Amino acid sequence: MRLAALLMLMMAAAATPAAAHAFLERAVPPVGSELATPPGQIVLTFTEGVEPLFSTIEVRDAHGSVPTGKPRLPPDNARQLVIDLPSLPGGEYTVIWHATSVDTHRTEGSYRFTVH
Amino acid sequence: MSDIEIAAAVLRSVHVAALASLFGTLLFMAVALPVGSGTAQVRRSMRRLVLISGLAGLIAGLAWLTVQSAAIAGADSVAMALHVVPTVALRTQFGHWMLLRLFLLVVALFLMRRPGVAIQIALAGVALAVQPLLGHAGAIGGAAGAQLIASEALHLLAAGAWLGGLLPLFLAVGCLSHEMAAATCRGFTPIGLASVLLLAGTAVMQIATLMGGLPGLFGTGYGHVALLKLGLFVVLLSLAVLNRLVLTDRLAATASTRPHMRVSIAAEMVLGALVVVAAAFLASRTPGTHEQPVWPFAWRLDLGVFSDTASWAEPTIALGATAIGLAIAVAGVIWHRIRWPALGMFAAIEIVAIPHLDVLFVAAYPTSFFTSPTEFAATAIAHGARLFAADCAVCHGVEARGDGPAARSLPLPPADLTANHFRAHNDGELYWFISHGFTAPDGETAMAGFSGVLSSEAIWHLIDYLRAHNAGIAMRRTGSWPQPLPMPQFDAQCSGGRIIDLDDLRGRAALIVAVSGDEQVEPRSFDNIGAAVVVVARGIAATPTGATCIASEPQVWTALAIVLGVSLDALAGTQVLVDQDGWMRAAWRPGDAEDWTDPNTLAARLRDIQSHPIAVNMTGAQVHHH
Ligand code: HEC
Ligand SMILES: [Cu+2]
Repeated sequence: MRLAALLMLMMAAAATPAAAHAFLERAVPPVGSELATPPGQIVLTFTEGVEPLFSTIEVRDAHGSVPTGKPRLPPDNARQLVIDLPSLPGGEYTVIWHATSVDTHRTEGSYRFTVH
Repeated sequence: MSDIEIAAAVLRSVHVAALASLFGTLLFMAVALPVGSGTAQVRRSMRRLVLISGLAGLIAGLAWLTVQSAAIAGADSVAMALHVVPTVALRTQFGHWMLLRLFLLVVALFLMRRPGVAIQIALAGVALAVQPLLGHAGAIGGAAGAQLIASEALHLLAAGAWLGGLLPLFLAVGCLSHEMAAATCRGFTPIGLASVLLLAGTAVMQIATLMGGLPGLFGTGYGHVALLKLGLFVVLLSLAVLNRLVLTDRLAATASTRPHMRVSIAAEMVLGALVVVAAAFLASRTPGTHEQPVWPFAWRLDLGVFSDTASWAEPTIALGATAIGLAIAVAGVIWHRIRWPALGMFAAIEIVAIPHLDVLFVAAYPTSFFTSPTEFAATAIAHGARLFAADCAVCHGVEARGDGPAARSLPLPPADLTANHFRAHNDGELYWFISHGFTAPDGETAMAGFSGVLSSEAIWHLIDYLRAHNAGIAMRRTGSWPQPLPMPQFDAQCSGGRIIDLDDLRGRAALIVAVSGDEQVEPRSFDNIGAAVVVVARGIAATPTGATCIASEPQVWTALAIVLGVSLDALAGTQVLVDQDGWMRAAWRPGDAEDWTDPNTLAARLRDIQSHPIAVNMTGAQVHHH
């Protein structure tokens, strides 16, 4: 038993775990950031390719949804979604994203940032 | 899983099974079925099977596309589902590959009337091999993704050749003379054997990448479905071996074995179908690498002994002996004449050798393979420091040396968390210690577990702090870090409003400079030393200029002070060199002998570091030495 486990472990030792659902890898503006100047865009980078037609990014302030453009892929990166923002007044904002990865799986999440 | 996801998984398995049957039957007709007048009738029924499989594949494929579209779009009515199908088909990666596959299927069916199946086999094979591009593997991207796609494509072709060949084999055994049926079984052997080897090889690769290795296999829901699939595969394989080694020879001798053979093949088919269903459900789940694996065993493998000159000999010799024993056993199986002596020797060697492999195993806990989600972030370290002062310092002491005010009244002395021993534990073990605490041998609680008190996030922050602090104390004592330490993750502002983090610096070395307002240190320009420059600022409103970026969050300052083992006020002026892989490699403080304010000295240090990268896997974050 242990020996079999040992052999298998050795084979699996070179394991490089790979992602396979679109999880948020990083965000600009960053998660939880406090900004002196309002951001012009939101750029979300995911762990894998996403389908822009079936993904959404919503930005909310204290009064509800902020009107934004539709998410698009930048020409050079299939893992990023970008939306353009109107000029945001100071306050706290919540970004709510729904992503469909190219393997058809859906993930979602949210985070906040503050504009001073 | 929601209803719609279950429906999609079921349709996916029907679709894949039909494609496998199409490919397997065509291959069977070309390779396994003997040519001759006696086979005309069975050939006709196989052509019918090809047609049925192709049509079933087409219909189930269209149904899967529709249901999957509905799932992607969150459609809640049939009308809406049908409405989004064209968009999904024409404008997503999934849709494109699905259309290609359905097109190949149609072409293959149109070619039915033509004699010669080579082109049909090729079309069916490509249609089947597209599968990974419709799932997880197709979404990963990069070299790892390409590797996984190739391995999964082979996996599917092998499964198709074997499982898809079972139904034609069943038909052949039913209608051919018993001698010819046995000849057909023999003809199928090369296909079966090659498939099994390919399936096993590619499965190991998938366990390693999608499953997160053995912890993922044994410790996650995804892994358990994979284990189920693996178990079915082993039973399937045993039946196949039985068919080939026992039943085939009997069938060649007497026709009365025919019903046994057919029952056995039918059982193989049922198991094969279950394997395909398990695979489809596996494909619709989150892979194991995203769950924290709960390790079910009380021990785990630890190869640390091999790096210790005093103890590596024993397991090495034992491993060698084990391997020699296995070789002798294999020889015995091959040469009948030496079978019993060989097996006896094998048993004797293993009985002696295997107990010596014990040193390769260490105690493990359910959380042993948990990995920290924090990326060793500066914010996590700083938060951990606050938590430590509030919850742990009473026993472990402010400096974590095990000398807190409550230490004396405890049944066990609190551990010195600044000791070298601390680094022998991986993140998952520390997580277990902190969340579950310790009990003294007499049953008295030495340290109560914090799982109900602190969130799992807080526990990870504490671990990051303890690692940073342990390294900082060693730095204070000896002037260097005892083992590679990743640079704490941070965000920095660069010129032009760009925000970067450590990941953006990968591939380039970086110089980190701590600049404080009271010191009035001018951030110098290091543009020509060949490294990115990040100023960690405290109390100054510096603006990023040129290639210099500025990290002004106070937590970055705090975290840096902790890993350097200095007070917040003593950090100003410190410089740290981070290599292209994100490891902190050297630090300099004002007053140190070597003069890092001299660009030439700095450039020389930098070249030296860049040309000697550290061979540790960054994702593992901490290396384990016991
Ligand atoms: C009630 C006193 C007490 C408190 C409070 C306490 N500990 Fe402990 N801790 C101990 C004792 C005693 C041991 C040694 C147990 C042993 O040796 O078996 C220990 C051991 C440990 C170890 C194992 C170290 C090793 O290398 O084996 C870790 C890690 C640890 N504590 C972390 C923490 C953290 C983090 C906190 C705060 C959240 C904390 N402890 C709070 C008493 C305490
Ligand atoms: Cu310990």
